[in-house]
Amino acid sequence: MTTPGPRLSEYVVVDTSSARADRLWRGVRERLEAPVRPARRWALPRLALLALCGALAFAVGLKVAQRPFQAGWAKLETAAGEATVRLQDGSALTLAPKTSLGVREPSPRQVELALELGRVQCDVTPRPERSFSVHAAGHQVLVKGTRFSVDLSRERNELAVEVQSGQVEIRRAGGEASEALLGAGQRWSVRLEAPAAPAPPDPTSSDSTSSDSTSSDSVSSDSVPPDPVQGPRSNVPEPSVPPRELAAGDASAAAPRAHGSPAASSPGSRERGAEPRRHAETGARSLLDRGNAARRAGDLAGAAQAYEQLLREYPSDARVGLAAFELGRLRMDQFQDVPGAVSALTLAIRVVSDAGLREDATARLVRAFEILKDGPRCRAAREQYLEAYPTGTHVVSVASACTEK
Amino acid sequence: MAEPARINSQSGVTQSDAALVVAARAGDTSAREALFRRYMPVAIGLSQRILGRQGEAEDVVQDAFVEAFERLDRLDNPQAFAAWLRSIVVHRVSKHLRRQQLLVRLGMRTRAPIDPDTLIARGAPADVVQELRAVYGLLERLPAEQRVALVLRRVEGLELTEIATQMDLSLATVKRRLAAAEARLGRARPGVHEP
Repeated sequence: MTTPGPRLSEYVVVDTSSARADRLWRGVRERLEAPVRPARRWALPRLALLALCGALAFAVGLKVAQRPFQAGWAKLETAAGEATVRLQDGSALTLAPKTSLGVREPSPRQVELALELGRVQCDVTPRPERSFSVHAAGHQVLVKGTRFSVDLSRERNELAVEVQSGQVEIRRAGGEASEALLGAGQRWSVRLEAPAAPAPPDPTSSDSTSSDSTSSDSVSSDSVPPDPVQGPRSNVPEPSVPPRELAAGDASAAAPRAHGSPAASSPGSRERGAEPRRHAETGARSLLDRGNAARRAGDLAGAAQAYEQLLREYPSDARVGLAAFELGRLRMDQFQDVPGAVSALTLAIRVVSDAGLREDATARLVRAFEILKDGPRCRAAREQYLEAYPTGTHVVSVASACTEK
Repeated sequence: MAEPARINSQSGVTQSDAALVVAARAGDTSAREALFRRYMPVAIGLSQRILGRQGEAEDVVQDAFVEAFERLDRLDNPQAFAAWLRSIVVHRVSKHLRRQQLLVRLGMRTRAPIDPDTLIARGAPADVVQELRAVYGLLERLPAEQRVALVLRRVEGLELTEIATQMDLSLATVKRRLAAAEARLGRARPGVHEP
C-alpha cells in the first residue's frame, strides 16, 4: 500500500480516544446481544401509509390484484372510469378506462411499469438518480422527467407512444440499442404481429431495463438499490449508441412508424454496419465488468488480467482509459509494481476523456514517481497537475510531493 | 482498502482482518471487539467528517457496526472488511442525512449550521483552513448525496472510482453529483469569510 500525501481529512479533529471507543463498543455489544430492529419504529407509519393508499385506490375505483405478475409487482385496473395515482416519487399516472397496468414495487432508484392493455398517461417527476420505464408489448419506454402516454390497443393491434414534454427513448425489451428517441410533440407507433401480449419484465433481470436516457454518457447502472454488502455495480460508461435514423413514412407492416420531427428513428440499413462495433463494445464492457467484479470479490490477479486483456484486445474502446486507471491502481496499491503502474497511468491520462479521472490519474502518477524516487519526472508531473488543477482535489498531497532533492 | 495483519492488543497475537472476520462469524465476541477497536477510528472519523457533528456521528457508527456484524456472512472477501465497513458507514450517513433533511422540511427540526472551528485542527495551514471552511460552510445546504460525495472527494481526497465504490453508485452518477456540489462550492468560495 502506498502512502499518499496529506489530505484535508488529517486536519479535521476526531476524538478516537479509548474512552470513546469503550463507550461506543458497549452500545454496539448491547444491541448485538439484544437487537432492536430500527425498522420496527417505522412499521406503524408504513402500515398507515399502506392503508391510506388502499383507501385511495378504492376511492378512485382501482382494482389492485394480488399477484398479477411476478413477485414484487401489483396490477392496477380500471373499469369504466379514468383513475389517477401518484407514486412515492411524486410522479402521477393517469389510467384511461379499461386499462391494466403492472407497477413494480418502487425503489428510490427505479420505477417500472408494465402496460398490459389500454392507455397510461405519465407525468414523471424529474429525478436524475432514478430511472423510469414502461414496458409494453416487447418494448421499453425509458424516460426521465417528462410527460408522455403509452397506448396499447388490442383493437388496432398497435403500440403507440406520444410525448408531450421532455424526451423518451424506446428500446426492444431486453435490448440496449435505441429503437427511437422521441422529443416533445412526437408520436411513435408500431403495429404488432400478434395480439398484444403483456410483457412484464423478469424482476431478476431488471439491470438491463433501466437507462439514463437524458444523461450525456448514457450510463445505466443506477437501477439497483444500494447494498453495501454486494458492493457497487459496474462503473462502466455505456457506449453512446446513436439511435437509428428514421426515414419519414418508412412504415412497413410490422415496422415502427414515427411522426413529428425527423429526430425519431427506426431500424435501417445502418444496423448491419454497426454490428462489429457493437460486438467490440460488448466484449470490452464484459471485460471491464469482469475486472470490476473480480476486484470486488478480492480476486486481484483476475481483475488485473481482465483489465490487461481489455487494453490488449480493444485498444480503441472508450473504456480503455478507465481500465488503464484501475489497472494502475491495482499495480500500485496491491502488487507494488510501481513501474507497471506508471505505464498504465500514463496511458489512462492520454486516453481518458473524463476530466476527473484524468486528474486522479495525474495525481497518482506524481505519487508513483515519488515512490520510484524519480525526482525530475515527479516534479514535472507535479507541475503538470498543479497547472491543470490549481484548485483540484489532490492539491495538498501533490504540492507536498517530491519536494526533497 | 485491505488492511494488513495487525497485533491484537489483548492477546498479543497477530491476526489478520480475514481471521477476525471468520472468528466473528462463528460468534466470537472478542473477535468482534477486536474488529471494532481496529476500525472505530476510521469509522468515526469518516462519519464525523461528513456529518460535522460528534453526537450524530456516534449514532451512525454504532448503527454501522451493528449492521456489519449482523451481516458478516454476506461479506465475500473477509480481508476486505475495512472497505466494506466504510461503504456501510457511508450508506448509513447518507440515510441519516436524508432523514434529517426530511425532518427539516417537515418543520420538525431546525437546521443548525456546522461550526468549522470545532472541527479544524489547530496548526492547520491557512489554505487548508480556508478550504475546510468553504466546504463545511456549504454542507448543510447540499442534498445528502451531494454532501457525501463532496466530503469524500474534497476532504477524504478519494478518487472518483473509490467514491463510486463507497457510495455504491455508478461513476456517472458520482460525477453528476460532484459537479453539482462543486459548482455550488465554487460559487460559495468568494463569499467565505472568517466567522
